[in-house]
Amino acid sequence: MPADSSYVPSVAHVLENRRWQCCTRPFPHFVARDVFTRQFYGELDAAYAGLMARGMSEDNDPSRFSRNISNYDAYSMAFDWGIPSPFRIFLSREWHDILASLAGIPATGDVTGGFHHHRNGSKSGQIHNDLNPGWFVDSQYPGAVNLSRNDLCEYSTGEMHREGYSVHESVRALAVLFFLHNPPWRESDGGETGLYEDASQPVDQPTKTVPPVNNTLFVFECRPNSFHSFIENRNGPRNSMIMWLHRPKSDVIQRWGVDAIVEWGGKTHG
Amino acid sequence: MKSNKKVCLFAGAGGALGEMFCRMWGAQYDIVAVLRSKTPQIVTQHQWWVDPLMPNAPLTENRSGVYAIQADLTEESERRRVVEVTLARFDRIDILVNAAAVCHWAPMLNGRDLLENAPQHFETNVLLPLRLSALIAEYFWRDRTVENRNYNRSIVNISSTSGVYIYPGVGQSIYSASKAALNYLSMHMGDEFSQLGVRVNALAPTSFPSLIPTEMAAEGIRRLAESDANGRILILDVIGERWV
Repeated sequence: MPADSSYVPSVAHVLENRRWQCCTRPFPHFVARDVFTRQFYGELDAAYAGLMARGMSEDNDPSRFSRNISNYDAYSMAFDWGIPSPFRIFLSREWHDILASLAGIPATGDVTGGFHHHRNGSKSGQIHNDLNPGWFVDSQYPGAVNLSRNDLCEYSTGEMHREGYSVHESVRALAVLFFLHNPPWRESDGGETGLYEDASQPVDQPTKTVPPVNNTLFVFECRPNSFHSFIENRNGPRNSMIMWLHRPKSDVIQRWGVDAIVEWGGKTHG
Repeated sequence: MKSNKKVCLFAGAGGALGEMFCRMWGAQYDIVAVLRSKTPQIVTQHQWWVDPLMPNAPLTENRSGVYAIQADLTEESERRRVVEVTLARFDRIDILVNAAAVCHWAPMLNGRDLLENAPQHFETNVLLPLRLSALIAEYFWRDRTVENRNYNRSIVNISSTSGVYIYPGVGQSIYSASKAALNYLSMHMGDEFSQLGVRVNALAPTSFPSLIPTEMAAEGIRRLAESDANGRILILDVIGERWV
């Protein structure tokens, strides 16, 4: 729960575009362009620039973009309740519930996420589905989203760093990418998110691509077949915000079986 | 779903022109939009619009969708699948728009980039329109000369002013040559397909939307399809339009 009470606008007030594209292939997802009003997008862009101005670290440093994801050629910075205020909208219960309702998922309120920066020439990722588990400290604040707290409990393993908290495991249900603070995108620039029908497809031969066009939102349900990957950016950096909503583990087991859950050993993010 | 609308097979519908054409004329034609990996912002059987704040509300924008087929048209089996699926679903093909294109600009004298991409330009920009047109003739237009004329059936090949004029210094050589070849091919196709009662023309727009509105190019396709022109090239640029 936020320590301060920074103003978070109503989602309805900052949404510019209420026509989002619902797509079924190669797996269910949503794409929306020009999502936020010009003014609010400008605030997000400026806040992102402020995060970038802290510099990049080659070692894990939670206070700035750093190389902290194995097998993923990007710098990232995880959400915490201290993120610049425009981004707090992504941690609002309203945003969470709108997305959960849109995708029709039984979301738990558990949320993790952060910011990704791919330098120009970053390598393509590996094709994966994001159907991964996540560990959370039990929420103390019903009605708010429950943000992962790596300082208390390791998100990927459940390992406790402090006594006195109870934890639970849930599973990623909805991945949400928002592109911002990027140079104008052209087709030959790369840096798209590739969508695949099969995990064995060559990463540079996706079934569909979602380009990193500013103020574009890409949302997909994490399923056994939600195969996707970052594709090498050849002409400029790629910047994005990424977050995941979660669902009960029991729901995943009932729907796809326990073997569908992809444990973290050595897998990549993105 | 069969209707009385003309059936338009639009190859290469994933680009800006395909998206605009589907938006502007989706209600007038039964459009079969052939896509590779890019997916335009149009309504199809696989994608539609939702209001994130009222996800179950019906939207008027979803009423006139197109039928999408994802295919790599450089593969013969994929071309056959596209034609077979279109005919199975709509019974006929009245308009073929050949808009699939490769556009890679590079200098001649600096590395192998241009030469490595050259075969793909001619394969996609020149041979593919011919192959797809001939395939539809084989499957459907053959032996229907009177019917083809009655329905004013036609092919519109999407060329470029780069196939008519030389724009030096920007590495357009192979792209330009492929579009020039497409222009000549279109005129020959106009001659030979006329035996089947099918007209063939090329549309040669300049850059859109930077120099002309994309709507102008999309309207140009419709005008060629509804005209009686054959073996002609319609140029669209900042001056206006003119025939070659």
